[in-house]
Amino acid sequence: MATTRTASNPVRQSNASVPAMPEEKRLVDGDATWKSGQLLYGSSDGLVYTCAHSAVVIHYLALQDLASAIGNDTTYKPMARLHADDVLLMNVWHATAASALAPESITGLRYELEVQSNVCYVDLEENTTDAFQVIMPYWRVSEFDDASTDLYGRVLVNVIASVVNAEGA
Amino acid sequence: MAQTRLWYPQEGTVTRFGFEDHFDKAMNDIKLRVDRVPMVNGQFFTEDDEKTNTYKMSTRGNEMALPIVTQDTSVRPFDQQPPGYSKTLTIVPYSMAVKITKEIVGMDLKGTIQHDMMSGLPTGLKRLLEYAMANVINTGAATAGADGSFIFGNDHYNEDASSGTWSNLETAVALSPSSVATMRRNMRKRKNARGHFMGIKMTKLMTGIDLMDEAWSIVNSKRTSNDSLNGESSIYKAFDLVVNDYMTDSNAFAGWGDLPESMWGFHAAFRDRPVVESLGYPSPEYPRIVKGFYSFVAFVVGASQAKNMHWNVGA
Repeated sequence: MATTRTASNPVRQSNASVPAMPEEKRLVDGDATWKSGQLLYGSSDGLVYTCAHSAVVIHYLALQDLASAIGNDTTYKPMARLHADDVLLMNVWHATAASALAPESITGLRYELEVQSNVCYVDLEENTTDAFQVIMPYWRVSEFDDASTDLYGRVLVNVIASVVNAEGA
Repeated sequence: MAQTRLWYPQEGTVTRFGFEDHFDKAMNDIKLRVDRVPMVNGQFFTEDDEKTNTYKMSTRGNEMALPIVTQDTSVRPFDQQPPGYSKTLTIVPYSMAVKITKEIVGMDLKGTIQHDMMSGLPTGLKRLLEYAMANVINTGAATAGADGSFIFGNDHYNEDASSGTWSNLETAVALSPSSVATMRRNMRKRKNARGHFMGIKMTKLMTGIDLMDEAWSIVNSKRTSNDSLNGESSIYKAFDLVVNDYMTDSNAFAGWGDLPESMWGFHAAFRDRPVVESLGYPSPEYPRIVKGFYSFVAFVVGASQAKNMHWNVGA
């Protein structure tokens, strides 16, 4: 029986070279709202915005909820900087829930970012402006909590280096 | 009711952002949510230590053919015991870790957060073992054992093939006083590799949570519901009741016999016993990530021949 997973924002698993995610305080777009763990990016205007669907720039993981828009562009908020080697645990997305599966065959493939209700997913439907590369479906190593039949199943991914290091427009 | 879903950053390190209540001076106490792990399945498994990544086991028996009529001058009759089926299981390593910053340790009201975080690692190991062992039982009616039959099957060949087959899979019927009594009789009827009685006495009745009340009533009823005469129940307090929280089938139930441990057929083999050790923080570059711990176990669980358990998938 397929279990429908409740999706959460990315969970940092490990990084062989950087033991912790460096914390930064950055100016935040006054109109933005987000949830803890959501993926963000720093723009060339000096402000941090939430990454949207198909984002090609991903810099940060939000450390606190931002439940309502601040209303000014002069407030700093804490966030953690992503590195290219960071391994993230994320849920997969497909507009048809029954297709939001994480089969073995997606290992090594690249996909775009999907954002639904302030939750970041790996978008199995789109692979044009990719942000993530799948390391493996999580059910392969988490045999009692995860299953290959899970809807919105979990995968381990790398954020593609060029996406982490890209300059925000 | 308005639901509140807690969102917290999962950055791989326990920092103040995940535990903002710790920084609230008005907070009088932070209670620990203890990870309670029901310990059920270990009682059915034999433990072994293994040095390599495979655990390979087999059995041997001491069941001889019956002595035959032999006069003093007759040719001496000899017999040899049947060998056993072998089973190979591959050991798998598992690990999880936690690390914590000095800031949150310093802010902690109770001064126990390091210990509390670390204490989740051994309980996680216990839970892993329980899930792994329960999985063997839950999937036993569809997973091959050492003899090629399903672990719970009705077509196991005896080790001496001339002695026919044996079954540890009951005819599927709902849990009831009569189906439990039938299971007990079937266990008692089971024969050894030579086709002779073993006298297995059923000592435990195991069900999932959904059948626990029914099972309790069955075991603790003095009167039988099998007939209209309101006679004495033959299984009154005859078994210990095991409620297995991890059973996935809400209709299934099982009986456990009194065979010696070497015949249980459920194996847990450890290359590395469960441990929780320090990660060696703080490191020179991260002096304020003060503590880190990891759990580790390398083990495998599986079944060869479940000679001491009878399974009924229920209805």
